[in-house]
Amino acid sequence: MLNYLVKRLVGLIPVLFGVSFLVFLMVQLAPGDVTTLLLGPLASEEAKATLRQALGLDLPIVVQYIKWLNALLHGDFGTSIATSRGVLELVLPRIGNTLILGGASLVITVVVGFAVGLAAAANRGSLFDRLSVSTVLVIGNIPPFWLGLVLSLLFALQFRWFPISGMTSLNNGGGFSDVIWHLVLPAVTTAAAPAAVVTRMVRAAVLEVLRQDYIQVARARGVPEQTILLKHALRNALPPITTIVGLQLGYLLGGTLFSEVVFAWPGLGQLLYTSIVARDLPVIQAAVLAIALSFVLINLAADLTNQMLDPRSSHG
Amino acid sequence: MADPSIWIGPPGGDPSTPLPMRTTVTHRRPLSALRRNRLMLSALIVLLLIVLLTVLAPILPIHDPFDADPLQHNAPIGTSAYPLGTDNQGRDILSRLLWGGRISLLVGVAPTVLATVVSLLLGTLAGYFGSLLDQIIMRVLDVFFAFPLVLLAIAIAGILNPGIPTEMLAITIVLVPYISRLARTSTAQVAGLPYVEAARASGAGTAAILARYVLPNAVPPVLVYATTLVGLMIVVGSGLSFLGLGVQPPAADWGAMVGDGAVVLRKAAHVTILPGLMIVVTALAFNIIGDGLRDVLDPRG
Repeated sequence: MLNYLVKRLVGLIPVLFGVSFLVFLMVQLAPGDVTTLLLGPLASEEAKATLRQALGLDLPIVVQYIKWLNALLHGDFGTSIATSRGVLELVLPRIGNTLILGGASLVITVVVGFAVGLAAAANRGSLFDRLSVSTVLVIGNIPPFWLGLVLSLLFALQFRWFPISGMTSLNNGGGFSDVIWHLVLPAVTTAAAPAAVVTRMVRAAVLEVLRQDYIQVARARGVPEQTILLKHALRNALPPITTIVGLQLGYLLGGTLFSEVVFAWPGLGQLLYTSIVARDLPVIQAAVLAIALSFVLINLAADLTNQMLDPRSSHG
Repeated sequence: MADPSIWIGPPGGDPSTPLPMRTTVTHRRPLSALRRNRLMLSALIVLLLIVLLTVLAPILPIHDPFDADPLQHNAPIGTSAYPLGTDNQGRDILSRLLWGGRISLLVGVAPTVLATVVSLLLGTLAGYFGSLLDQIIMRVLDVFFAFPLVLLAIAIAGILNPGIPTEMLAITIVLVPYISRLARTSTAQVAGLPYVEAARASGAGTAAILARYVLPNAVPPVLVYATTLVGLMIVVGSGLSFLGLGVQPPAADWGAMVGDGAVVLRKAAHVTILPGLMIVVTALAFNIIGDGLRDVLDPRG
């Protein structure tokens, strides 16, 4: 286990360098001139050249990258062009908000995926099974932004059960229950498609295990069906399922951006979106970097969970 | 996985019927072969219908997609002259759905095709020639896997100038790592087989070996995988347009139409709902067809 952890951590180093270089390069590819952006279209060529030199933009690209990375490692993420505030103070509070939304969506994904998938597999061929299979097929293809709008139309505008946007109420807001109340619609929106995929996989994996000889033997020995299902089938179906859940995390994290935009949830995705609209390159850079870092860490956690559930998988 | 042609169990998967002998291939997929074939046929018909209607949009007797009727803003479904109503600017939704479908389909299909070509090249290079080149290509692709697919596409499209080419470029870039990985695996599997060794020993050139032995084995699984991705890419592409990073007004694809409609969600929900339904139906059709193809062409899954 420890060996595996060390191996994974060492393997991450080149990936992290690559990620930072890619994020750095991305901004270099942005059309338009930074000096024009900062000084305005009327600035003289001389002033632009001076600024270019002051910002180090005349240096070779690798040198610029190293300087940029060095600044990052010292906590200097630059200044937002749009708001003139430090990038770090804009990004940091957003990370937690996105993790709340992502975490809640993950819980919904896993709970719904397991419950429905297991129930469908246990009652294979039943009306419930067939209904859930077709429902899952449809839900897996619904774009999150559209689902968010439909849900807010129904449950916020029509029935007024949930707030239409934001994370807290203006009056007496901010308590635990208030945040949960605001969380329901965006979390369901984010979780829908991944939950559909997980349901499908749980059902398939459990059916696969139920077909094995040892299950037949257990049945023949008179082990109750419930024990077979929960103890044997689910336990042995877990490793492939956790792999799928891990793969869905990327889709889930991508989905949070749309939920955040539709429901004005103040997370990283919304920050990324507003800074794209404002062409605020330093904030875009930091937000993308923060998302990639979170994703790398989440994947690491998923792999470690897998490793604990199925030690054989370490050789993959 | 399950190959429908050798499935001998009862159609419908009756739970009371005992499973066939374990030596036969049983169906692991949610739907039985018979129902799956019927489903695939319906998906194909729906998709052909959508493609046909969008392709024919210029010659169909419909309004101009940009013509705004100043007297008919947000007209509901069933308004005379506007069977699917009008949007917030009084433009015919039916016409905009058909014209927008051309863009949505293009953005879903073209980048997948382009990414498949690039990936076959990269994957074959990595899988066949191996060693250093393999290491370099795969390590670079690892970096792309560190980003959630959708967010990387948004970041790329968001930094470049918005428009259809940007949108397609962004989707192509995020797809390449996934398809390349599969192309590499399929190539590497074949490259080590005795008959390829034999061909090499008998003096066949690299190009001949690749063309005659390696690619014919590597291409089918890659094509099947790419087909299953088109549906998702239509969803991703519509997401980029919804955010305003793709096609620019006054033109709109289905995603941009959903975005336009969001402003009048309360008073004219159909402006938002209709284009979204088109996305769901089209992506669903592509997925059903992709799944069916996988069953037919790649029984091993």
